[in-house]
Amino acid sequence: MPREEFDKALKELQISINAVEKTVKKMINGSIDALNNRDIDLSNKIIDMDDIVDKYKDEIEAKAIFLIASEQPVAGDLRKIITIMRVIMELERMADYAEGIAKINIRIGDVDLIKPLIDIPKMAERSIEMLSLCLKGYRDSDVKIAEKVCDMDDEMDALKDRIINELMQISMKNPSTSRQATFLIFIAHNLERIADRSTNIAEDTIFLVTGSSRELK
Amino acid sequence: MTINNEQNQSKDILKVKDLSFYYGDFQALKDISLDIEANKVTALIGPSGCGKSTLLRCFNRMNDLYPNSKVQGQIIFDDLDIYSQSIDPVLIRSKVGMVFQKPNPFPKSIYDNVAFGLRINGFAGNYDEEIERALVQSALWDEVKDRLKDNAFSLSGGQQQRLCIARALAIRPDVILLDEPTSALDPIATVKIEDLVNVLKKDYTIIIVTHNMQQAARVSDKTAFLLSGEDRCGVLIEYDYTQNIFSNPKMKQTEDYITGRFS
Repeated sequence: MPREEFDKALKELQISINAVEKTVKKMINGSIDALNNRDIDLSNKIIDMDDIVDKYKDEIEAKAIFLIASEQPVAGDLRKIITIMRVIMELERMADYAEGIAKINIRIGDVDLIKPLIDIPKMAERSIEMLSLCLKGYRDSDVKIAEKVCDMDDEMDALKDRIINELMQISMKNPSTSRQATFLIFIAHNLERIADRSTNIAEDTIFLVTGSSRELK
Repeated sequence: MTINNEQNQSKDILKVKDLSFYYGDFQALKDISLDIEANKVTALIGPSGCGKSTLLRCFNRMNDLYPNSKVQGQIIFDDLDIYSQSIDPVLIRSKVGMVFQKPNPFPKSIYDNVAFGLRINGFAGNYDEEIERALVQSALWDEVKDRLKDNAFSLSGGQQQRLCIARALAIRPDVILLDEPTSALDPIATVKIEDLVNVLKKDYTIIIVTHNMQQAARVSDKTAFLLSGEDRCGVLIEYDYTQNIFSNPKMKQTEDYITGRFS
């Protein structure tokens, strides 16, 4: 089949995306572990990992731009490259949110948590599931999987609302907890944004397959 | 390339209805139907031998010059079937001009090349004015205005091709047929012709055959994709706004061709 070199280049970009996926998952998991275990060293490692993702993003974008210039792709081929550029941007933003959680953990400092964490780890777990699923949908060009990711996002929004209500009540009862409660709300917000980015990848998949954009709500 | 689909229909200047074309016993085109919009650029694309140049030549009856050629179906131009017996092919060619793959100026001066069509049509007006108009329209005037008496062969390839366009424009056609007009030109001359096409469509309807996909995407408003089937006879696979053809074609054969995956 013609265009073997082009297909090979696309495959290499896909392999890089897979590597970024693994790194981002490690960052999300690690940031919550560090929060739970009050582990500042781990938080610093997560912050450093963001540089790896940024480097991947720069490399993938540069290769994709050169492919557009050299191969002048159209139709489905063009959508493949555009989608790769969109997906790597979403993954890079997810890494930023995980890095943000690690930074918040450092700002919380060397103190105990005001409550055992239940819903925040659950949100982290769900966000990683959504990330796996949206990238499976993207790799398999499966619109149904993409739509399922959107359904999962509703659960994330509900968890975030529950966390906010609970932490507000705690801080109202005991104002000395309000500083940490605010930080934990920020963390829930970051996890919810990570899930939103998975929904964006699901929408990118729909664009890849159908050629038209559709917002999943 | 037209970014927004200009779905507000302009007038169809040419209507092709169930057109089939034969070189002797060989059928080169089969049941082609499409309408060409006025003041738009329509690109004909497809692999070699698919019949796109044959279709282009049908629009001004250039194929009549082939012995034993035969046409079935109709091409309606200004409510007249150009293949009806009462129509003079020379009149059609004065309304539907043509520019070929390789620049083919006559061995005459620049001035006389452009004047040629006017003379054989018995034009009695101001030649200087008409020749300047045609050369301005073909974006050549500034480069040749001080050397109109020079031989056309003294021009570069790109200039010669624009001279051929000026020659076609001189007799004020409605439609201009361009058969791979830049395939013999360098990239700079190519860009000049493409820019020219974009300007000319304000006053003319343009149909262009090109093997360069990006050129079709850049210059045309609508694109027709032709393909030869197992019987080697050219058929129309897809005809749509260029943006749709190059972003999201409906037919798999179109996608395979434009993405270079044609086997």
